Amino acid sequence: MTAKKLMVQGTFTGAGKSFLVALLCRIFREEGYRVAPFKLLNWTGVVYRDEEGREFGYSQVLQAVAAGIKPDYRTNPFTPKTLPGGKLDLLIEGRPVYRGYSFPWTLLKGWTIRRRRILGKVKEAGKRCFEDLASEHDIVVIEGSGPSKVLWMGFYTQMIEIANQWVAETFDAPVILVGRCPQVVPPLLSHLRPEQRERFKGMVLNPFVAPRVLSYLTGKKEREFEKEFAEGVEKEIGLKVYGILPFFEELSKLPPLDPILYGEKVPLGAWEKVISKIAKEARKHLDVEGLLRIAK
Amino acid sequence: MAKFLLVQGTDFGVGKSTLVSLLCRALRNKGFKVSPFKSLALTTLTEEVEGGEMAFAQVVQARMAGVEPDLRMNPILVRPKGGGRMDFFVRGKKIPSSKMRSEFLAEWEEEVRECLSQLCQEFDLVIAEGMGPARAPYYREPLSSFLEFANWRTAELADAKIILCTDEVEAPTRFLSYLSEQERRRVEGAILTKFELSNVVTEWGYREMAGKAMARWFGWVYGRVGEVKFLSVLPESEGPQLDPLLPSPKPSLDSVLRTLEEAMQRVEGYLRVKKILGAL
Repeated sequence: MTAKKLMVQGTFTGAGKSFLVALLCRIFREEGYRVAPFKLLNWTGVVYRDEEGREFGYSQVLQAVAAGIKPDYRTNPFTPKTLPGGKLDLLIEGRPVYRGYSFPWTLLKGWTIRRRRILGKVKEAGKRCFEDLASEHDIVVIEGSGPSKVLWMGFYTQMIEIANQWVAETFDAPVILVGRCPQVVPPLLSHLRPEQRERFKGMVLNPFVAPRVLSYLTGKKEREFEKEFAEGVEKEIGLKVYGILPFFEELSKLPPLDPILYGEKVPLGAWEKVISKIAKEARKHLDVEGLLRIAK
Repeated sequence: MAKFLLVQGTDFGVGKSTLVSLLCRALRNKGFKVSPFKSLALTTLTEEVEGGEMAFAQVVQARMAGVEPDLRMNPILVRPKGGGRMDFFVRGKKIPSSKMRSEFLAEWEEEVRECLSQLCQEFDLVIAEGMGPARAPYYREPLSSFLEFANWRTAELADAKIILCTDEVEAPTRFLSYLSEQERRRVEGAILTKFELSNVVTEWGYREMAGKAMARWFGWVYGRVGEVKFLSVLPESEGPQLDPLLPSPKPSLDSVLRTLEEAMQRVEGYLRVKKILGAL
């Protein structure tokens, strides 16, 4: 493995991980690096189908577009694909290993035995794909799934653990958290083991409207408030703040980037324009050099 | 039973206004005469009612409660105009000042106290809404004094029971550690909003029951781990922003009420009214 790695984990589903990874892909590429996104597990109903017939998460294609590379199934080795009627297709490296899996049914059919085998395959595929990507690129921006940690939710907890902590550990990646509420960070980290906690290097707040609100209220510059908030939050959560992102109007007009259920796809042409415009704006709010420094 | 329930948020935009609207409707359906209340509203969306100007969110909430909007439901209204200037309204009447002064707070306190005691006499229940994050160490002036007044000073004046409204399941745990012993005693529990997993489960084709079970289990687990009592866990529902801080287009009252009716139907099974009443 030669590439540098940086992992993005979220405080909860919908924290803005997919967006931040796409944004970082874009920005690092503009800095002159060859960048690839990677997400081990993407539970989604919106998939991309390539020429070979492999299916994988559509949000990785959006990130690939942002990174300026071709859609690649290796960016998302494991895709539980949501089907209508409470069913799932499990896809590994774009090929189905299990079709029409529905929770209560398959449990009855002895899923517990098969589950271990499938998770084993997922881990193998993940390592294979990641090593390939890492040898071909300068930076791999890894995305976690869901929240960093979910408590007491059975199989879901197990999946989230693999997609987040196992990935960070196996590929030895530093982690930055993304979320809108800094208060949740201390309780969230307290559920992790100390060696897992040490991987967390910083946080990006997204979207965090308070600086803009205060600048509107007082007439002072937004930038000043951002600095002030960053200091306050750092003291509060014990992680360095690498950026406070405002609310991007363009983004809210698009369909969700990475929905769990099926839905509309973000058109690739429009996305290319939107992400490059946002990247220009977001650079003012992000500490890009700092992020490049912690990537290893 | 206490007559005054204050819904405080752990952050901006967690769904307090919508939650108060829904609570007003749910309690009205139970046969209570309910009034909404917000001691100090800081918003760009306002509505002209009889006798003066009032925050739009409180007008909506009054309608959901089935009562006439009344200026006493929002004694103090601050409408930012940008660039450090603001309009101040006390019981709907504009006062000739565009800058915040420290002596305002003491004057406002009297006003709030009077409105409160009148409303408490006329209604069975007053459901009040706090402002923004009720406490967060990284907020400074001029927001922090507004926040302190709208949340904690009001709670003291009304001797309120508090329910926390949050959209992040672990936020209340940390939030409680910011409070003094006395303040913590007021907090009766929390309500989690925008719980997406319930939506996913039901929209995916499972029965409503599965979504509810998911919400209950989640609330129970995180309630135990974080030592917070979750009184309800509500699914995500489409809703307009009722009290924005930045300039934004004003939705029509009818369309807002219609979306809230829909939201009410969506969350009805999740809102555990008995448990919430038990907190009083």
